[in-house]
Amino acid sequence: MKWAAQVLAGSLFMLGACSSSGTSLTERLAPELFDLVLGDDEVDPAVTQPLPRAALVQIPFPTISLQTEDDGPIGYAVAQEVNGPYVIYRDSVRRGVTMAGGLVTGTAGLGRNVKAVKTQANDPVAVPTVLSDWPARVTRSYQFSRRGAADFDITVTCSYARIAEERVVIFEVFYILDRIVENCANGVRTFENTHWVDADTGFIWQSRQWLGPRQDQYLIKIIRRYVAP
Amino acid sequence: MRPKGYSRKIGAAILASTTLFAAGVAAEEPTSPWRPSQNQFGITGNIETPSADMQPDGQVSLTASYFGGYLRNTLSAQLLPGVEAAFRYSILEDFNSPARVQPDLFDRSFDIKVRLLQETERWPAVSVGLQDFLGTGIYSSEYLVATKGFATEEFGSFRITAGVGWGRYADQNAIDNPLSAIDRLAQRDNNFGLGGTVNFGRFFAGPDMGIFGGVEWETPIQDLVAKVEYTGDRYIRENRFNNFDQKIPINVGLQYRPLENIEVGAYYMYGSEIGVRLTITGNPFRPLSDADLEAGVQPVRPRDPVPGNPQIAALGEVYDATSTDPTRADFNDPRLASVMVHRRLGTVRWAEAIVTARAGDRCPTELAAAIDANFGLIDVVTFSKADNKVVCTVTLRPAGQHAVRLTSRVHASYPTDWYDQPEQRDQLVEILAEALAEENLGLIGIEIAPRRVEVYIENNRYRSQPRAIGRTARALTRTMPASVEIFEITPVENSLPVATIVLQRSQLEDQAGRPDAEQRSWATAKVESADPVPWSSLTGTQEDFPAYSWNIAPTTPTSLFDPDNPFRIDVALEASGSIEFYPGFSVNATVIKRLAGNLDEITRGPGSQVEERVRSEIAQYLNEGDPAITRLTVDYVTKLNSQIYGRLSAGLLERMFGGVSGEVLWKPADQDWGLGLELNYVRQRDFDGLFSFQSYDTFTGHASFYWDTNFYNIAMQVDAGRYLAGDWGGTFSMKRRFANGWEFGGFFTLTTIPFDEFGEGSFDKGLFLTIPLNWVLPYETQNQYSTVLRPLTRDGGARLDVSNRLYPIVEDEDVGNYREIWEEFWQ
Repeated sequence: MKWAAQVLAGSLFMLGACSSSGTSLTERLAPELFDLVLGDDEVDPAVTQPLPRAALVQIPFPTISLQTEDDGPIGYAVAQEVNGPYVIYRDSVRRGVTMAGGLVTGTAGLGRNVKAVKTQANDPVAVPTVLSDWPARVTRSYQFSRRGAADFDITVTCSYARIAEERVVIFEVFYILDRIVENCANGVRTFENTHWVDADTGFIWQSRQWLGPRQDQYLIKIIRRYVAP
Repeated sequence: MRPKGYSRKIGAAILASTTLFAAGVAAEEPTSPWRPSQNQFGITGNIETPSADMQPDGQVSLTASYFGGYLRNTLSAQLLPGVEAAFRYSILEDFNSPARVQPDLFDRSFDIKVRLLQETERWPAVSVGLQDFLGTGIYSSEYLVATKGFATEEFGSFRITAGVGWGRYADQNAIDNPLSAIDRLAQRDNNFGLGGTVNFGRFFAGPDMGIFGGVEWETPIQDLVAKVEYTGDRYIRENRFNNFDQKIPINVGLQYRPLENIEVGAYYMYGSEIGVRLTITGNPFRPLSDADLEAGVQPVRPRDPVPGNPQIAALGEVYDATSTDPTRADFNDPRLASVMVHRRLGTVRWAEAIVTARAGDRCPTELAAAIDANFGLIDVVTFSKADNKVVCTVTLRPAGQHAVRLTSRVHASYPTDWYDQPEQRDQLVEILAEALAEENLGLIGIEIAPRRVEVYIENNRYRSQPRAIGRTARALTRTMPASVEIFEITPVENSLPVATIVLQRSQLEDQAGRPDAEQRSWATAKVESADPVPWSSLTGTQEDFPAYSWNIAPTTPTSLFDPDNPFRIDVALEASGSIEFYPGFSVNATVIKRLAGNLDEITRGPGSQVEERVRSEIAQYLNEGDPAITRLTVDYVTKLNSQIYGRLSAGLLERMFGGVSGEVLWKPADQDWGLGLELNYVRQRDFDGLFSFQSYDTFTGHASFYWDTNFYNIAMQVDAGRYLAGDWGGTFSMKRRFANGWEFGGFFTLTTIPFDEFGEGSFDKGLFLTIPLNWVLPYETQNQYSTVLRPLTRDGGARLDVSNRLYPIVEDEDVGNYREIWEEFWQ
């Protein structure tokens, strides 16, 4: 990536322009390229350490954490809007996810974004369902946007397997949750989501979800849940 | 009222057919289509010979190949799925007599290939092609070719090609041309004159017909292809001075793709030469970067429901039964007294059912399914008691869910008292301007009413206008008081409000985040021709004017295809500035200063007999005008009414001419064609690029017809009128436009200047190509690379180069184009 940025930076320097509006390509990309070319590749260790619960509870809104790797950087997003079944979480730089129940149905600012997810009415990940009532399988259609090219859908059928009841720690709080593995396939691809579910209410407190063919899986933890008024 | 016991319909069957997901359909990420390779001529084929294969639709390739002293540079494009075209610039070393001053030949040629049959499991693909059909005819030949692929378990995949050819392909081992029975095709005329014209009489003509063919083998090494071919081309014309020794008519070689968009080939050709090829290729449908690193969108902010909204009360408790088994209930159930079906909100079938006392107070959701089965395709049912007390509402289909949501939102009566407080309105404008600035959009003007807001935005960031409109709409949901239900958003392009997009806020609230948001938002948006704007009465406009802008950028003017030096380039610095005193009324200036390069070495004369040298004195302009003012104009653009635009420009209009230019354009936003009229009086500028003029002056102008054909997004333009040299005629342009900003196409001009007076090339023609930079970058930008390739620049058919013609400003702002790119509305 860095070599590409260096080539791009060199090209932009050659083609550099400046304007009163600040909208020339050079002006637009210069700060980000500066970071890429001269910045440090190492991740700041501080962002890989979870914030203490005492600090997180100061946030007066429903809050989630997002992580692509278990020991990778942690992002925090708060519920910015609620629209019907959708709770829209955003971080300070407008990245985030939209969730229906425990299912991510949209993303923003992640590079390659989920536009929406079409679910069945009885999809237990999208509509909290007591674990004993979960259907054997559901069909789900993920809709992806591609900038400058046609959007596309990936439709999969997902089945569930209860793995075990586990003691899960989410930012210092212990929960007894059922680990459910969701196997999704469509003949071309297969992927696996994992949900940690409260068996009595069907609420998903933690999940690792597939968000697209060229996107890392995201680990999502509910720090403070949204409760409908 | 419809009586119970009415003929039953098979509701279950209808339900099954409208289930959420069609069984067996597995939507998936689109994969890159298979892409065949180019040949040494830059068109799809083997090594030198063509194949019947085609590139993926829209593929654009630049091929450079070399062997035996022959360099070919070819720009090719898959114009349509079955039509491939190429423009080639070749340098043939020692092609002419060594006694001549210039023994090398610089040659321009055009090819076209059309697929007649697509390959099937049993039958090969068949294509017909014309090589060098519009040029000097050095490579003139025609062919009919078939290609079929075979896959074997042991040896992998092969593609076998066989064809017959005329012209060069019939040089050796030929058979009699069966078409020579037609007198007109018996002989082949090889006198091409000045070139540049289509010689229809030559096609498929001559006494002989050659054969050619080859095999391409996909080796076990990924992306490595081995090729072998036989060709009937003997290079007779090249060998007149014994500079090419063809020993055998066979070529062999390898081709490799180190990267998706780069292809290299190396060949042993004709038993005596080594050949090489490099192809760089791209496809508008497959961006180099489809990632989106722009800031994520702000969410739509839904309004809180109004307590006591009578519409909500009229629905009662709402239940969703979209996935309920439809067979459990009976329409003759004694709890059901009567049913009446209405159409509401357009096409939604809404049943009102009266239940008997036996139903009690529980919502009889199962009866909704029975009503649906009986009447067929009921979207929603509201149950009431005989005393009109509503029991509940049951939604049976997504359309019903949508109708219920809208019903509870759209008729809410939100207070409008905020409107009576001017300071609150001013505050709203400030907040909106800030919200739009966060989206890199400018607020040019706004008009607020208690239930409607009109905003005029300036979008210098997003290539896709729906994206700017969507982000504006989101900002409006977050800033406007709840009573404002209608959003009218007008993007302003070069001070021209072209189209207004009318959105309903309640619809946006309902659509946001849902899987059908894109379709529903397009279905509920209205695109209208924008009315002329009384700028002075709009809030916010006064403070923004006069507006100053400037830009300094390096630029690289080029000169192509000059036989003395086919590629010349300058590096120059271009500075431009503008003062816009009032929307549409501005002074604009551009100055260019050459830094380095060799454009000043152009020495060629006009090369034609046209008396007025309106373009061919470029060398003098470059030599004597540095720095040069390339534009200094007073401009006024305006809308005369909602569908007619006007422009008036005066001053130094372009590098070679100054004067007065006026234009009128009629182009309604809901129409895919338009008409324009441009009239100019101009005088030729002095070579020094400053303020003095030469003696030549003229009236020039054109009537223009613009048409977006809606066929593969092909746009056509016909301009008829008087050109700079006083010649009368017309220019026909055609281009294919892609949703992401790519464009390619061509044009030709025929005027009253005869071909022999025009000079080499016979008439003016060229190709144009535009590649948007956001196809390459993961960021939004309106920057793009555009070029016009003219084989020759002559004085005939030359048109005034005005900077701010109206049609390019408005052409993207119509219903057809918005429909094409609307999917970016929510991005």
